[in-house]
Amino acid sequence: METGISARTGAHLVLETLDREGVDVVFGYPGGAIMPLYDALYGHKVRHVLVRHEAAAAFAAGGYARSSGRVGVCLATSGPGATNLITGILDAMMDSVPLVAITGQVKSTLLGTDAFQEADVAALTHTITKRNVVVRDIAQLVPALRAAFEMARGPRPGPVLVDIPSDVLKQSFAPSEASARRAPSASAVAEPAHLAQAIEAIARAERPVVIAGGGARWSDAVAEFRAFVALLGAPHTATLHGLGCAHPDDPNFLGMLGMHGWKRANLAVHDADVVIALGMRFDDRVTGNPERWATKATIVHADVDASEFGKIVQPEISLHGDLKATLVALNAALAERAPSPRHAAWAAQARVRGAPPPRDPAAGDVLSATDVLDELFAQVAPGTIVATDVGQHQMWAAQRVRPHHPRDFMSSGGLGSMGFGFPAAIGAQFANPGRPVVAIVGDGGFQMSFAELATLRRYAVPVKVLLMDNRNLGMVRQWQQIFFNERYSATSLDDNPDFVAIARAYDMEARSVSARSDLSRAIRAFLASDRPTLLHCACYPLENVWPMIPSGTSVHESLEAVPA
Amino acid sequence: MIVEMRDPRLLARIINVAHRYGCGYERLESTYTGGTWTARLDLSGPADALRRLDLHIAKLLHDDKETFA
Repeated sequence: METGISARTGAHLVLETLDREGVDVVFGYPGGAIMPLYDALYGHKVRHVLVRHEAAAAFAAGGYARSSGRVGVCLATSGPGATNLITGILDAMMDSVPLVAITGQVKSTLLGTDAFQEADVAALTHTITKRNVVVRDIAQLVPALRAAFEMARGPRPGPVLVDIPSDVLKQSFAPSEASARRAPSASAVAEPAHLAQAIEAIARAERPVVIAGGGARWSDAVAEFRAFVALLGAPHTATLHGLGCAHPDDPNFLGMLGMHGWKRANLAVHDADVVIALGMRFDDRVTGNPERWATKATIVHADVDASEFGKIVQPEISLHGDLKATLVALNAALAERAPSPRHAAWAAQARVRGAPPPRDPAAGDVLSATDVLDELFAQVAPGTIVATDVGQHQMWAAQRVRPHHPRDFMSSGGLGSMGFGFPAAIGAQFANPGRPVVAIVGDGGFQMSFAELATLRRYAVPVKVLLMDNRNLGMVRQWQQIFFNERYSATSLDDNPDFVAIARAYDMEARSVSARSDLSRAIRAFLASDRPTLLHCACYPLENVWPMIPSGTSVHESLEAVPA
Repeated sequence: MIVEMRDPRLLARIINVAHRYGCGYERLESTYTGGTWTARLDLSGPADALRRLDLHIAKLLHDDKETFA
């Protein structure tokens, strides 16, 4: 152990490093092994947000990162604290979200003894982090944390976990003057020969389609993306995480792609002769059956992660590099050519091939979920951040949302983790004070996370919770109706609590709406509030999400009603 | 395939990934010299899975190299 005037405890070194990395807020929950860090947090400038379950800490940190582009940080103690973070860490891995999880650990001498609240969190998170480390030597603490932030940021962002035994947090150490942060690697541009191939393919294309993926968000390539599609004059679509890359008023934007995407977007990809896939990973919810996906097209795939090339769909042309830099190079080449009139004609043809079906007529006068979301997105102010939970409401929202930037819309896409939306919205609000934040949640997912109403109250976080209550686990119910002979196993939530009463118990403004005639006024009041607010929408219980391309099929098997 | 890494736990991760991709391995050997582990892996499996595995391993090793740079 080193001591001296400049020696600080491990706990203080953690906070010092967080501060140097630009961290202003951390989300966490205390416990035995991490108590030295919480002691150091007392009165510290790094703000700690106490959540009510560690899972919410990870999701809130994810929401903070997704809405800001900065690294989200969550804290938990050893054992159960650490294991409760795991779903949120995997969510960050699946969606490439920069996250640093810091966990307390039993003291070094007890490691491997099955001590109280001991878990081998490094082993448990080995396959769901970009990297993890157990810091046994205090001299390695600051370098480990700094490396964690660098790795979380990229080139492809993701989660990193730093596990710190409690004795290391208590030890004192005088680190040498912090070395300057390593300069980030120069943005790698795709190979010139590959760029030339891509440009040639694009120039020859009669029916090109561009797909924006989540990579555009993390590469900060929105302006370059919009310039690219404008230069090309071609129709374009987006994955769930690519929503917001296109300007919402761009007439060539065809809406979301995939299982519950707009039919015109899926048809355009099916008929395209060149597909330009930008920062996406060809998830099965996007491609259905990859053997039958975009079979007429030359695939141009641009991604920062070479392991994505050919993982699901084999591209003819791979552009390995930072997406922003790649698009700058493509735009420079395209700017020298006039947009092809063929592309404009193709875009006009693609635009008129089908929007999501209207509300379920069987709902009659009963409020439907699509009524609620149509009204919400008609009234919501530009710049509002929207977080969804997972399920039917997520897909209805993704079909309708009109974000001006991909950071304005967030959802647990790859992992599809219920319980994400509400805490993610809280994290987004801390990252974006002063901006409106709406959490769209279902009655199932909200009950996985509504302990965080206490977090809203404690910090007076003005998140608006739009609760779509159809008294069912709707998406599972929909699959049971279509694929499991209407055997509704464990999907009814007809014993839901009084959500308005629960919200009011946490001092929230809360109302319920069940009549279509009251909806517009209720949404207006909901959006106008500057306090934590809940609007409970009692929705028709049997509405389904259409269109739907059943898993493993193609756009031509797309359903718009329950098969007879 | 011969791979070099600073964090020997990567070897376990490579084996996990190989299993997930439906690949097997007929030989695993590793040696430690000067802070670096050198491992020889003889992997077997469908060509497409091996190609994807190669790319995945390259990413893991790249991250390992960046961490210890």
